[in-house]
Amino acid sequence: MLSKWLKPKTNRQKITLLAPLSGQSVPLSEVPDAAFSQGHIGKGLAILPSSGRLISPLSGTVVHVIDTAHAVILEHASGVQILIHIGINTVSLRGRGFSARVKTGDRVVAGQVLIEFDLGLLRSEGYSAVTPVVIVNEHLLAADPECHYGAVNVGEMGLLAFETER
Amino acid sequence: MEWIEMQKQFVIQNLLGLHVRPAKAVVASASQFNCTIQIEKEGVQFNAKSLVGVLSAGIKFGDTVTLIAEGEGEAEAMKTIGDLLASPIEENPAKKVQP
Repeated sequence: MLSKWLKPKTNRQKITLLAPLSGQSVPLSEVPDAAFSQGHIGKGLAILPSSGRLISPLSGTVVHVIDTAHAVILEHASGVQILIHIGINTVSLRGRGFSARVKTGDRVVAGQVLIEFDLGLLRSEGYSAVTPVVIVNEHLLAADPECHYGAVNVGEMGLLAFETER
Repeated sequence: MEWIEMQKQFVIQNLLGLHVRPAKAVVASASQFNCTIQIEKEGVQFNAKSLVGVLSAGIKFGDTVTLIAEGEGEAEAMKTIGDLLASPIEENPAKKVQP
Protein backbone atom coordinates (compact mmCIF):
# COMPACT_ATOMS: atom_id res chain seq x y z
CA MET A 1 0.00 0.00 0.00
CA LEU A 2 2.68 2.44 1.11
CA SER A 3 4.92 1.41 -1.79
CA LYS A 4 2.35 2.89 -4.11
CA TRP A 5 3.14 6.31 -2.66
CA LEU A 6 6.87 5.79 -2.45
CA LYS A 7 7.28 4.82 -6.06
CA PRO A 8 8.83 7.48 -8.24
CA LYS A 9 6.24 9.34 -10.23
CA THR A 10 6.04 7.90 -13.68
CA ASN A 11 3.48 8.36 -16.31
CA ARG A 12 4.01 5.18 -18.25
CA GLN A 13 1.39 4.11 -20.67
CA LYS A 14 0.95 0.67 -22.16
CA ILE A 15 -0.05 0.62 -25.80
CA THR A 16 -1.24 -2.51 -27.59
CA LEU A 17 -1.48 -2.77 -31.36
CA LEU A 18 -3.95 -4.79 -33.33
CA ALA A 19 -2.82 -6.81 -36.31
CA PRO A 20 -2.80 -4.53 -39.39
CA LEU A 21 -2.80 -7.52 -41.76
CA SER A 22 -3.70 -11.19 -41.79
CA GLY A 23 -0.86 -13.66 -42.16
CA GLN A 24 2.09 -14.89 -40.14
CA SER A 25 3.99 -12.63 -37.81
CA VAL A 26 7.73 -13.31 -37.69
CA PRO A 27 10.81 -11.80 -36.00
CA LEU A 28 12.49 -8.95 -37.85
CA SER A 29 15.55 -11.17 -38.21
CA GLU A 30 13.63 -13.08 -40.89
CA VAL A 31 13.19 -10.00 -43.08
CA PRO A 32 15.42 -10.23 -46.20
CA ASP A 33 16.75 -6.68 -45.81
CA ALA A 34 19.68 -5.96 -43.52
CA ALA A 35 18.41 -2.53 -42.48
CA PHE A 36 15.23 -4.09 -41.08
CA SER A 37 16.59 -7.46 -39.95
CA GLN A 38 19.38 -5.88 -37.91
CA GLY A 39 16.93 -3.46 -36.29
CA HIS A 40 18.45 -0.33 -37.85
CA ILE A 41 15.06 1.03 -38.89
CA GLY A 42 13.35 0.27 -35.57
CA LYS A 43 12.13 -2.36 -33.15
CA GLY A 44 9.13 -4.55 -33.80
CA LEU A 45 8.22 -7.49 -35.99
CA ALA A 46 7.12 -8.32 -39.52
CA ILE A 47 4.06 -9.92 -41.06
CA LEU A 48 4.01 -12.24 -44.05
CA PRO A 49 0.67 -11.05 -45.39
CA SER A 50 -2.04 -13.29 -46.76
CA SER A 51 -4.20 -10.41 -48.00
CA GLY A 52 -3.67 -6.96 -49.42
CA ARG A 53 -5.60 -4.73 -47.07
CA LEU A 54 -3.59 -2.84 -44.46
CA ILE A 55 -5.56 -1.42 -41.55
CA SER A 56 -4.44 0.92 -38.81
CA PRO A 57 -3.11 -0.93 -35.74
CA LEU A 58 -3.98 2.02 -33.48
CA SER A 59 -5.90 5.26 -33.26
CA GLY A 60 -3.70 8.22 -34.00
CA THR A 61 -2.40 10.44 -36.77
CA VAL A 62 -0.93 9.60 -40.16
CA VAL A 63 2.35 11.52 -40.04
CA HIS A 64 3.65 10.31 -43.39
CA VAL A 65 2.43 8.35 -46.39
CA ILE A 66 5.32 7.73 -48.75
CA ASP A 67 4.35 9.07 -52.20
CA THR A 68 4.55 5.60 -53.76
CA ALA A 69 2.10 4.36 -51.08
CA HIS A 70 4.13 1.33 -50.00
CA ALA A 71 4.83 2.67 -46.52
CA VAL A 72 3.08 4.72 -43.87
CA ILE A 73 4.09 6.18 -40.51
CA LEU A 74 1.48 6.57 -37.77
CA GLU A 75 1.81 8.51 -34.53
CA HIS A 76 0.13 7.59 -31.28
CA ALA A 77 -0.92 10.37 -28.88
CA SER A 78 2.15 9.48 -26.75
CA GLY A 79 4.39 10.53 -29.65
CA VAL A 80 5.45 6.96 -30.50
CA GLN A 81 5.72 6.55 -34.26
CA ILE A 82 5.12 3.27 -36.08
CA LEU A 83 6.34 2.56 -39.57
CA ILE A 84 4.58 -0.08 -41.64
CA HIS A 85 6.56 -0.91 -44.77
CA ILE A 86 4.79 -3.22 -47.25
CA GLY A 87 7.25 -5.60 -48.86
CA ILE A 88 10.99 -5.30 -49.39
CA ASN A 89 12.46 -2.96 -52.03
CA THR A 90 8.90 -2.26 -53.19
CA VAL A 91 9.94 1.37 -53.62
CA SER A 92 11.11 0.15 -57.05
CA LEU A 93 7.48 -0.50 -58.10
CA ARG A 94 7.08 3.31 -57.95
CA GLY A 95 3.53 3.04 -56.64
CA ARG A 96 2.30 0.31 -58.98
CA GLY A 97 -0.01 -2.04 -57.09
CA PHE A 98 -0.48 0.29 -54.09
CA SER A 99 -3.45 2.55 -53.27
CA ALA A 100 -3.33 4.77 -50.21
CA ARG A 101 -6.71 5.28 -48.54
CA VAL A 102 -5.38 7.98 -46.19
CA LYS A 103 -3.08 10.95 -46.54
CA THR A 104 -0.48 12.65 -44.39
CA GLY A 105 -2.17 14.56 -41.57
CA ASP A 106 -5.29 12.39 -41.40
CA ARG A 107 -6.60 11.25 -38.03
CA VAL A 108 -7.30 7.53 -38.10
CA VAL A 109 -9.05 5.09 -35.79
CA ALA A 110 -7.82 1.57 -35.10
CA GLY A 111 -9.10 -0.72 -37.83
CA GLN A 112 -9.39 1.95 -40.53
CA VAL A 113 -8.06 0.93 -43.95
CA LEU A 114 -4.74 2.67 -44.67
CA ILE A 115 -3.46 1.10 -47.89
CA GLU A 116 -4.75 -1.52 -50.31
CA PHE A 117 -2.19 -3.41 -52.32
CA ASP A 118 -1.97 -6.11 -54.94
CA LEU A 119 -0.28 -9.01 -53.21
CA GLY A 120 -0.37 -11.06 -56.44
CA LEU A 121 1.51 -8.33 -58.32
CA LEU A 122 4.22 -8.15 -55.64
CA ARG A 123 4.71 -11.88 -55.88
CA SER A 124 4.62 -12.07 -59.68
CA GLU A 125 7.16 -9.22 -59.86
CA GLY A 126 9.39 -11.19 -57.50
CA TYR A 127 9.23 -9.01 -54.39
CA SER A 128 9.03 -10.31 -50.85
CA ALA A 129 5.72 -9.04 -49.40
CA VAL A 130 6.97 -9.33 -45.82
CA THR A 131 5.81 -6.20 -44.01
CA PRO A 132 7.86 -4.83 -41.10
CA VAL A 133 5.89 -3.05 -38.36
CA VAL A 134 8.47 -1.10 -36.37
CA ILE A 135 8.67 1.71 -33.83
CA VAL A 136 10.95 4.33 -35.37
CA ASN A 137 11.43 6.59 -32.35
CA GLU A 138 12.21 3.87 -29.86
CA HIS A 139 13.87 6.28 -27.42
CA LEU A 140 10.31 6.91 -26.22
CA LEU A 141 9.92 3.29 -25.12
CA ALA A 142 10.47 2.14 -21.55
CA ALA A 143 11.58 -1.31 -22.74
CA ASP A 144 11.66 -3.46 -25.84
CA PRO A 145 8.20 -4.16 -27.26
CA GLU A 146 6.49 -7.48 -26.56
CA CYS A 147 5.88 -9.29 -29.83
CA HIS A 148 3.38 -11.99 -30.64
CA TYR A 149 4.60 -14.36 -33.34
CA GLY A 150 2.55 -16.83 -35.35
CA ALA A 151 -0.70 -16.76 -37.25
CA VAL A 152 -2.45 -13.39 -37.05
CA ASN A 153 -5.86 -12.26 -38.22
CA VAL A 154 -6.39 -8.67 -39.31
CA GLY A 155 -7.91 -6.63 -36.48
CA GLU A 156 -6.88 -9.08 -33.75
CA MET A 157 -5.65 -7.37 -30.58
CA GLY A 158 -2.19 -7.94 -29.11
CA LEU A 159 0.23 -8.19 -32.03
CA LEU A 160 2.70 -5.85 -30.36
CA ALA A 161 2.64 -4.15 -26.97
CA PHE A 162 4.94 -1.56 -25.46
CA GLU A 163 5.19 0.95 -22.65
CA THR A 164 6.10 4.54 -23.22
CA GLU A 165 8.27 6.61 -20.93
CA ARG A 166 5.78 9.47 -20.75
CA MET B 1 30.76 29.43 -27.11
CA GLU B 2 28.79 30.84 -29.98
CA TRP B 3 28.28 28.77 -33.07
CA ILE B 4 27.85 30.07 -36.54
CA GLU B 5 25.41 28.18 -38.69
CA MET B 6 27.04 26.20 -41.47
CA GLN B 7 25.36 25.23 -44.69
CA LYS B 8 26.14 23.55 -47.98
CA GLN B 9 24.18 22.36 -51.01
CA PHE B 10 24.07 18.80 -52.31
CA VAL B 11 22.53 17.11 -55.32
CA ILE B 12 20.90 13.81 -54.39
CA GLN B 13 22.47 10.80 -56.12
CA ASN B 14 20.18 8.01 -54.89
CA LEU B 15 18.12 6.99 -57.93
CA LEU B 16 15.07 6.17 -55.86
CA GLY B 17 15.35 9.31 -53.74
CA LEU B 18 15.47 9.35 -49.96
CA HIS B 19 12.94 6.58 -49.33
CA VAL B 20 12.76 4.77 -45.99
CA ARG B 21 16.13 3.00 -45.93
CA PRO B 22 18.38 5.84 -47.13
CA ALA B 23 16.33 8.32 -45.08
CA LYS B 24 17.01 6.25 -41.98
CA ALA B 25 20.71 6.20 -42.85
CA VAL B 26 20.69 10.02 -42.84
CA VAL B 27 18.75 10.11 -39.55
CA ALA B 28 21.15 7.64 -37.90
CA SER B 29 24.12 9.69 -39.08
CA ALA B 30 22.60 13.00 -37.94
CA SER B 31 21.52 11.59 -34.57
CA GLN B 32 25.15 11.02 -33.55
CA PHE B 33 25.68 14.77 -33.31
CA ASN B 34 24.58 17.24 -30.65
CA CYS B 35 24.16 20.18 -33.03
CA THR B 36 20.85 20.96 -34.71
CA ILE B 37 20.79 19.59 -38.24
CA GLN B 38 18.22 20.51 -40.85
CA ILE B 39 17.76 19.61 -44.47
CA GLU B 40 16.21 22.34 -46.54
CA LYS B 41 14.38 21.69 -49.78
CA GLU B 42 12.64 24.42 -51.75
CA GLY B 43 12.84 26.81 -48.81
CA VAL B 44 11.35 24.43 -46.26
CA GLN B 45 13.49 22.99 -43.46
CA PHE B 46 13.11 19.47 -42.10
CA ASN B 47 14.67 17.89 -39.00
CA ALA B 48 17.45 15.56 -40.18
CA LYS B 49 17.25 13.61 -36.89
CA SER B 50 13.66 12.50 -37.50
CA LEU B 51 12.64 9.81 -39.98
CA VAL B 52 9.31 11.55 -40.50
CA GLY B 53 11.22 14.80 -40.98
CA VAL B 54 13.51 13.46 -43.70
CA LEU B 55 10.73 11.49 -45.44
CA SER B 56 8.45 14.54 -45.35
CA ALA B 57 10.99 16.46 -47.41
CA GLY B 58 10.13 14.06 -50.27
CA ILE B 59 13.66 14.20 -51.64
CA LYS B 60 14.09 12.74 -55.14
CA PHE B 61 17.04 11.87 -57.33
CA GLY B 62 18.62 15.03 -58.69
CA ASP B 63 17.03 17.33 -56.11
CA THR B 64 19.23 20.03 -54.67
CA VAL B 65 19.03 20.21 -50.91
CA THR B 66 20.82 22.36 -48.36
CA LEU B 67 22.30 20.80 -45.26
CA ILE B 68 22.29 23.21 -42.31
CA ALA B 69 24.03 22.54 -39.00
CA GLU B 70 24.50 24.73 -35.95
CA GLY B 71 26.04 23.89 -32.61
CA GLU B 72 28.55 21.50 -31.08
CA GLY B 73 30.30 19.35 -33.69
CA GLU B 74 28.75 21.18 -36.63
CA ALA B 75 31.84 20.97 -38.87
CA GLU B 76 32.13 17.23 -38.38
CA ALA B 77 28.39 16.80 -38.87
CA MET B 78 28.53 18.76 -42.15
CA LYS B 79 31.35 16.53 -43.37
CA THR B 80 29.81 13.20 -42.28
CA ILE B 81 26.25 13.84 -43.41
CA GLY B 82 27.40 15.78 -46.44
CA ASP B 83 29.49 12.83 -47.63
CA LEU B 84 26.41 10.63 -47.24
CA LEU B 85 24.11 13.03 -49.12
CA ALA B 86 26.66 13.41 -51.92
CA SER B 87 26.88 9.59 -52.34
CA PRO B 88 24.33 7.16 -53.81
CA ILE B 89 23.84 6.05 -50.12
CA GLU B 90 22.97 2.54 -51.27
CA GLU B 91 23.30 0.41 -54.36
CA ASN B 92 21.14 1.65 -57.24
CA PRO B 93 18.55 0.59 -58.06
CA ALA B 94 17.16 -1.46 -55.18
CA LYS B 95 17.33 -5.12 -56.04
CA LYS B 96 14.39 -7.45 -55.73
CA VAL B 97 14.61 -9.96 -52.93
CA GLN B 98 12.87 -13.29 -53.12
CA PRO B 99 10.71 -14.27 -50.15
